[in-house]
Amino acid sequence: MTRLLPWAVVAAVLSGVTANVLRLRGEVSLAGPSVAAQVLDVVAGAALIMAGAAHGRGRGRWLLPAAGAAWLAAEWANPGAPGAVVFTVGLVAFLAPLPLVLASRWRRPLGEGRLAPAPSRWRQPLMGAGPAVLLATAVLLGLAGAVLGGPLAAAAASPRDAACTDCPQDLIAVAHNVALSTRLARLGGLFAIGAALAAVAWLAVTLASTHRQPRRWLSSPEGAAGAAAAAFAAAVAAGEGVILLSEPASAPATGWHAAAAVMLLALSAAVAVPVLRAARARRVVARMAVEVAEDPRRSAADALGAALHDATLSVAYPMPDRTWRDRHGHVVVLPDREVTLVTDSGEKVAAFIHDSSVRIDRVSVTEAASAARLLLDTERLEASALALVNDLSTARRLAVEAADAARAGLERDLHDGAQQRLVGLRYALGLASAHAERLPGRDHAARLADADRAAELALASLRDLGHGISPGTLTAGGLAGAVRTMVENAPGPVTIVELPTERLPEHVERTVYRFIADFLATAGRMPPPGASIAVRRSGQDVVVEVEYGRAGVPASADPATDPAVAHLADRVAAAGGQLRHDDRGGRQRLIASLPCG
Amino acid sequence: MRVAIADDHVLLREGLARLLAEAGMQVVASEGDIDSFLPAVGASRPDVAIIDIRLPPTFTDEGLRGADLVRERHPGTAVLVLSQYLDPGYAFRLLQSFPSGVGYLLKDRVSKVAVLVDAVERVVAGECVVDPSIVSRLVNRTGLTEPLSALTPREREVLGLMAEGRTNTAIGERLFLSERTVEGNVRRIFDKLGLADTPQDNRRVLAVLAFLRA
Repeated sequence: MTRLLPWAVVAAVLSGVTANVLRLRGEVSLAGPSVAAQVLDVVAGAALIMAGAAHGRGRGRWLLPAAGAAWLAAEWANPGAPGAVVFTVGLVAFLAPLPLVLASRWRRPLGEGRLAPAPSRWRQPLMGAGPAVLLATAVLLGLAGAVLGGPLAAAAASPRDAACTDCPQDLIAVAHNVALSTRLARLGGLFAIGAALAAVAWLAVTLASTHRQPRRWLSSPEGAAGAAAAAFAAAVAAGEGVILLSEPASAPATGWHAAAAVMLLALSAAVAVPVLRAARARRVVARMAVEVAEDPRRSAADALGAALHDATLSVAYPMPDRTWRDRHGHVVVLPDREVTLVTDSGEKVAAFIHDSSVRIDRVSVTEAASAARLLLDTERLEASALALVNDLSTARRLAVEAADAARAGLERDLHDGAQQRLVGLRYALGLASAHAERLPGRDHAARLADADRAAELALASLRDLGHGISPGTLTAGGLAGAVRTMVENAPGPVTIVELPTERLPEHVERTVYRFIADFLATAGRMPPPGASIAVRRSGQDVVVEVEYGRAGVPASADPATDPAVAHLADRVAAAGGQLRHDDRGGRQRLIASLPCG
Repeated sequence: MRVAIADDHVLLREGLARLLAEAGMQVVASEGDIDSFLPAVGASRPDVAIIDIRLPPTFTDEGLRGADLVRERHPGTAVLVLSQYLDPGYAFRLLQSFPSGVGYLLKDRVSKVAVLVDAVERVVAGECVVDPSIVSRLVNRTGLTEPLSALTPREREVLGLMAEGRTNTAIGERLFLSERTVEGNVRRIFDKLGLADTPQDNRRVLAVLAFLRA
């Protein structure tokens, strides 16, 4: 705020001079004899200087302060002015506020190199060709009017020539042609009226091009400022019109002047409110950034949501693979609306997804985003690291699932194809031997029995093969039955301590089954007491506990480096679980926890 | 004897039909899935329905559910479920819902005409038939849980034969024991399984169920 201090001094000095002029000769001022109108007059000028200075950035930052200064200076063309210099300045500035105010509505490109919200479809109508031409016309007409009615009229004749005996000297008067001066002043008024018409047309065309949301635009700072500027132009023009029509005597237009002052106040508010709001947003974010950094449960979205008054605000980050992710690395699909992109020199930094009913203005977003810049960058880096981890674990899970699905498909093919045909063969052999028993000679029957035994063995080995690939009983009968069958076929002693009686989600059952199958393949040959297996629910998890080896006998392989254990750990990790190991005096224990939500 | 067959493989349906015809039985219905099989059973009222356990659409246990439906809607029709696998869990589920007039056999065992005829006749007579290979595996398994581990080998053998659906007389013949000895074994099995106070018929089934479940 210290950068505003020189502006405050300027505003105070100019207001002071004007107030003094009004105090001395208020009855012939533009504001008129009313003290209230005079106060309004001075406050409007000072407010415009300060609001313009606070808001200002970019090339046009001096326009509003200049307009405010010109507004105050216009009153100096008054016999009460302290000296010729001030009086002359007043004459020159007479019609200057109008083009300055209108020019300030020219849409400035946002400062480069700063965090800026990219334009989104609904919020701000772009300055199209039509509105741009109209606004430029208004500015140029206003400028011409200001030159004609100000310096040129003052050069043509001094007010002293027009019988204002107590007026200070007009320093730029080069002639004493009162008629010319009056004509120039009137011409300036006409141009001002033209400028006002163009400004009103500009407002109308802009409203018509706001995608059927003119109200929304009008209530945005940009729209409110535009409307106030156009209304100011209209009030100035109305005042000029009153003066023009009142020929020959110049009638006072104090009412319209007061209306113009009110419009300047509205313009100041429209310009200052978002600045104050943005300053608050920046303060809130800066304060919360510290809290967020200390508390891993909180995020940049919390800080930004508090700063921008939207508790539902969430933040998505752009990834190198062109997806958007939240801070945990999960993919986010950006909604069509209610998104504000934050960019830095054209590079996307983040996207704020917000409540459509909460209006978010560009300046606040910019301020909040730049205050949260470090947080946003940290979260974006975290998100991209986590995105990689997520993608890898998804890929691993998909690989395991695809392998399991392929096993199941293979088993089904075996069952539906070769196995059924072998069973059919045995039916045919059975039929043949039933016939053969009625034939003379026992040879046929014995040979058919041999053939049937061969078919039976083929079927049995095929069945074992199929079952080893993927147990059909698992999907149909559940984990408990399938594990019992598997344990019964294990080569060594295996104790079942506990199995769940209820069905678990299919992929969990498959993982547990394959885990136990892989375990028994290596540990199933253990001498007594052999291996033991326990599967139990524990809250949201399923815990598989397997034990092997004999207490007091060192394990044959260190589980930490055993490739078989690493394989088990892989399978568990692919299902999103964890494998732990402990050694109870030689008896090894593996504990796998699998999420079972 | 009138028989209905449910199997999705045409080859096996026909092979089985010819085996049954060879044994002098009459195939009155033959369908590939449960939805068309149930009305066919309702229309033809066979003495026994032979159902493959794996049927469309999911090829898991549709046959088992079909067996339940047949027993429920047509109590006069016995059910023989054929399976490619030996799964005690299936046998358990089958016996749990209908403890008489049902059988669970390994599919390719029925290629022996004598075995097929024996099984069909026993289920039609209201007995339970459980594939002997399941029973022998259960009898010989390691790591039996309480209370079955308290049984002596002889008692386990008797329980196994009970599970196959044999009567005390048949068990005695098989094990070369007097019927009174078998009865003594059966009583001790009931005691050890805590079934002493339940009525006679239920006890037998409950003992078998405990055996299959363990």
